[in-house]
Amino acid sequence: MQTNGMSQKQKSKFSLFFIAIGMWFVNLFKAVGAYFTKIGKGIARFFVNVYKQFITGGWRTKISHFIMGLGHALLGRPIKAIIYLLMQVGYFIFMFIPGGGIYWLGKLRTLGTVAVEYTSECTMIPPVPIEECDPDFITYSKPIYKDNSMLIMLFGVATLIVTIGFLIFYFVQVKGVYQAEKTYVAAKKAYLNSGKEEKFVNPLPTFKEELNSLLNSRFHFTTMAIPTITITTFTVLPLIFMILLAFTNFNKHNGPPNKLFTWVGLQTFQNLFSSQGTNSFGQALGKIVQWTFIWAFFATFTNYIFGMILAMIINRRSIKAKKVWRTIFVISIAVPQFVTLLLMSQLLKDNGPLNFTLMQWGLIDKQIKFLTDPILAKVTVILVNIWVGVPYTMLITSGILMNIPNDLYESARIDGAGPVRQFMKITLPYMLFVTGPYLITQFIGNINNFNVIFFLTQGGPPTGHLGQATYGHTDILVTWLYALTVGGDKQEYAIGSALGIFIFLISATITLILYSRTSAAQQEGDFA
Amino acid sequence: METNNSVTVKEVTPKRKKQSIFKNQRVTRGIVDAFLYILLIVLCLIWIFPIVWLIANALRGESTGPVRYLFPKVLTLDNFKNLFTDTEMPYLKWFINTLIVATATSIISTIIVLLTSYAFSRLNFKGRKGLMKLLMILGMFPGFMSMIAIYYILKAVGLLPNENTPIVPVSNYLISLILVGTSGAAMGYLVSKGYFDTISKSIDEAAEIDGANKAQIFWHIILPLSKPIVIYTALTAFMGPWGDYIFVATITRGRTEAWTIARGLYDMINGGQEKLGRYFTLFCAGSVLISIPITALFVFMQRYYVSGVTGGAVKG
Amino acid sequence: MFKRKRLALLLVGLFAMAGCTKPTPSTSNDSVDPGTSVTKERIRLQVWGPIEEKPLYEKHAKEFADLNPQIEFRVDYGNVGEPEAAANILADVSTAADVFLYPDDQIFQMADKGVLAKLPAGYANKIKERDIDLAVGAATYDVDGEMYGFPVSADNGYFLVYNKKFFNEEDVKTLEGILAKTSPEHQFAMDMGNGYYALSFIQYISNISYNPLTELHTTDFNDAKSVAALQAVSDLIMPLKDKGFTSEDFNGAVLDDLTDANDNRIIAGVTGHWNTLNVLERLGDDFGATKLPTFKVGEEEVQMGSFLGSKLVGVKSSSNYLPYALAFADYITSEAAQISRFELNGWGPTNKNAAANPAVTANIGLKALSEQAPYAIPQGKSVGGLFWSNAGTIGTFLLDGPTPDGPQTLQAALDAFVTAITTK
Repeated sequence: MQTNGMSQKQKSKFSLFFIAIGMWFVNLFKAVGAYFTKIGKGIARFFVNVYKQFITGGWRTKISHFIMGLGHALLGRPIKAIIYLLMQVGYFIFMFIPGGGIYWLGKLRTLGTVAVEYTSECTMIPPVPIEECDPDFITYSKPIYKDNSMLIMLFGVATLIVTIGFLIFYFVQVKGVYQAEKTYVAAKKAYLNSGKEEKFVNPLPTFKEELNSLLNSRFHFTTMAIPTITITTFTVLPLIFMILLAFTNFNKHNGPPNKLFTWVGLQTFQNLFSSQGTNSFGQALGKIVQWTFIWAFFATFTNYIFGMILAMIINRRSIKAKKVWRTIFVISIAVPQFVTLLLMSQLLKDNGPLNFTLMQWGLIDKQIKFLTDPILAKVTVILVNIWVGVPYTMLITSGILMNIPNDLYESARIDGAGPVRQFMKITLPYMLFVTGPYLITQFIGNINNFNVIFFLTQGGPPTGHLGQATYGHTDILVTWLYALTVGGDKQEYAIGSALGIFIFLISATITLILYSRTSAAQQEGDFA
Repeated sequence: METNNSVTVKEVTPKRKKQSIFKNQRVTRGIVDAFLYILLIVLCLIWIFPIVWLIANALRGESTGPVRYLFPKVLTLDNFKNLFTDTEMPYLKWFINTLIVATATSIISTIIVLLTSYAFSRLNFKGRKGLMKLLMILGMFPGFMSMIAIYYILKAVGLLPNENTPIVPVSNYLISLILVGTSGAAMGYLVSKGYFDTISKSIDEAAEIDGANKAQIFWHIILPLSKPIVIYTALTAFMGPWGDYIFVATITRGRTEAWTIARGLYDMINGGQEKLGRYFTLFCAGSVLISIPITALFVFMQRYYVSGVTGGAVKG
Repeated sequence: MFKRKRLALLLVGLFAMAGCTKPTPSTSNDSVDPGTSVTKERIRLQVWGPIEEKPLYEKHAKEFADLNPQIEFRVDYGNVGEPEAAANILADVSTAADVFLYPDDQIFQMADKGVLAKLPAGYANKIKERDIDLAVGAATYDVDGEMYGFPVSADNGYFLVYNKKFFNEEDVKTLEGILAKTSPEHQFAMDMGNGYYALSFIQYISNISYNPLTELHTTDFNDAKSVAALQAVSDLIMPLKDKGFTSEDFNGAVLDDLTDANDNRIIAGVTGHWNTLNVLERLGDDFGATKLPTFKVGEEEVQMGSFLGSKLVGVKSSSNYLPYALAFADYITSEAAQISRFELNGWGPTNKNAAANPAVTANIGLKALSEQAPYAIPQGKSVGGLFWSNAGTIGTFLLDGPTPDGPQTLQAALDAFVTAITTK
């Protein structure tokens, strides 16, 4: 616990802090390097094992390398065998039917060669063959779409993922057969040696026993199976798709339906970070990152402190009707965010009701540009965010506050500590300790807080920065990303993907740094 | 739950007589309380005001667009009536769509999250820690580009229209929304896992000795002890579909009958100035109507919501 | 095991489905032998447009089916407002509508991407004959001079509206005359911060055009005559700011302020045909509308310009039913169709005959629009992306004067504006 901060100690704390960060980065690089070496070694070891398995396994194991599941069938477990066999057949169908996996994989390297071909058609009613058609009604530019770079990317990656999934099952199957054969052969040997008194009992688990283990020792598999599939399909696949897009030149001029895009390596990243020329992406990015962090810090900090203070007020022993107060604040959460935010944006317009009423009451004589003045807009979004977020933080801190043992406060009061001192020495440290991870998630969440800023200002008011990289004074990274890709006409999809990766790296890095430092995380359920 | 044993107050202030402390304290407390009550009232007004304005707009009768004064001059229930009779804005259909999607998403998500969190909390398996970290950061990518990818995935699976079937039944869209809404449920394991962590493992061990398998322990022992977190999870999952409109817009495009409430309300005020002028009060009425059930849910479940979050979120 | 089997089957099923739905080259479904029409061909068109047009399209679909008994014709209508047309079509062309409504400023992005059907000469000539020049120009893609849409309405423009109780016909001919009759209690409303209106003062006397390929403009908005004109405007309106001239968007609140109930806080303003019905509702017989006024620059009278945008019906270039889509689009933009559209929704027609129809000319807003039309510039071809916010900045400058950290003179501000929209 800190003693009364003396400026010297604070100063050295600062430099210690920076040294710690620096050391942390060095350690990070070391760890990443070690991690990749571990992976490399692991992969090498894996293939060596596979090879060994093939050599030392019985004939059943060897067959199972080519026909999945056959080994199990020969070991007396037909149901398991059928399942694996179906998997193999399914995979081959998937890959080799026309328009199947192989088709997409083949195009993945080039992302397509011909986007569209044009043909002629007669547009008379009713249509007649071209030769007989009135020349004034022939169109020569009817497109026949061929390669769609985006679909090639998506389905190509999907094929890769399916293949990886299949390979996982394949190697699991091979290993399974290998071990099963070993057990079986050993048991058979023991049986033969023992003199064949009773009937031979197959030592391998029956289908029913396997089912049971799925509910017990392998319950984790059962619970994780479906989420794994859905997450792979709807999160991981689009994610890889998006990451790969950042290495292409997909934008307004290079993209489906009538143009292809192609791999450009790190060119898109270069474009995103370059500050050359006016209206560059890099310049915009720098400014937006600054504001994003300022915003995230203030948004998190204000919500937390005010929520806590509000909770403390309501929790105070002498305040009555606690539930009533809490309910009133909770009502503001219940209305969906985009409704309240849209209302706020109407309310705070330059010529909207709030300004009008204030002018009517004579409190101001000129409209306050809540959402259109560059600096004021920033303040307004933070204030509105307080309105949106304090009920939540109030609820959460409420519950925790009630858990702080009262005797701590009692002893403090007896020792003569006033309320402020009690807050600083007891309440605040306790809260920070317990809600550490929550604060981190909130901070990251605010870095990516799309709703509040989008619905209030759409990122505006506009700055002088023009061209494709244009942005507004309240734009944070995600709202800028939206404007660049889906939210308008810019269609800068490749840049958008690169930006998305950038945002992710920031969020993930911060999470991992801060998370590993909070003691709560360090005490995560350890299994003895 | 830790107590911070290292906290001690170091200073010692000069002692006062015990009786005067009492009297002074009572008076001070009274003044402070009065001040706090006033503060609370002011704050409540600030927080409730936009909602009041919403309701006021919904009841406004003299015009349908946004106005500059705060309180309506003519009160009417027409806006609410129009919600159900306007042919261009089939509010009731949207409401039902959203209700279906929200309920299904809530149920399925809750089951998935709880099972996943249970696995992370109780079952020690290879790759557990790695998987947890992976799931935690998977959600950190901004989602806009993935919406297009998901659109094409759904189209390839046959749920969305393609060239051979330009029109698909509305249920396809709802299924898509439910499917995508629940697909990532497991990534939200953090809070429920934290909650499960606070349940002592000795209960599990006792049950195992009695012969229960892991699945049975989950259903019959852990779940009944976890009412707050079940309700919290179900509630938060239920709230999601009411506010999502970007994804709905991406996959439904022109199919008005397949829209959810958020998409419909958004259309009312975002189709340009004309639409805003015509539909603003309708928008407010529609928003009021959907807020009622959500508010009710929230208010009644407040208790569980709080204990769920504090039990789980803060310890991680 | 149990789950695995289900999963395996599910996987196989899913992937089989995925594999089966690769994009097939779009071929025409017509396999009709010319001459033997025993089985009727089934033509099912997807049509996108705003929801208020749905009844009209259903009516037209029936009429079109009656006109073409050799096919089984059907229309599926989707609610996609014209501002969202391009985004929705480009998102997934293969499932986009065959026939759809779009605003003229989206012709660039869609023609550039090749999703609009180029009109064969037969249709193009038809349109050039029957529709007004402005509409024909709007439907033409400047890069190759071909037509890519069927004009359906050209009423997206603005004009002057006023309360006849406060103005007579002479007053509203000049800006000075209008402002002479205003006061802090009865003001003139024009949204100066909106690039749509801000530079209308010089849009007739000066030139601006937009090249969508380079996304740059060509303009003389900062030459001497433009600067002089805008300076005159600024000198006129700045002293009257909030005392007779107010910069506000003509929306619900301002509309209500036209009425006696709100003490006629607003007695005149600049707004467009989309508000004609709204203003008519409030002012009734006191509703006056006419072309925008002139203003004095030195000794000359300068006429205010404006924008005029039009709506077009486009046909998807890769439509499976291209001949019928084109024919249907042609049908729903013909003279009779435009008249019924006017009767149903009040849209101003582009068809020459329809525009001369007495019912149309009786409409106050459309009449004002046609008075202003000679001084209007086509929105889609004249300005593009960078214009709007930059023009709004100039508008604010005219009314409020310079900001501390911006250009200090009108010339400097206009120079900055021109640089912004003519260079990258």
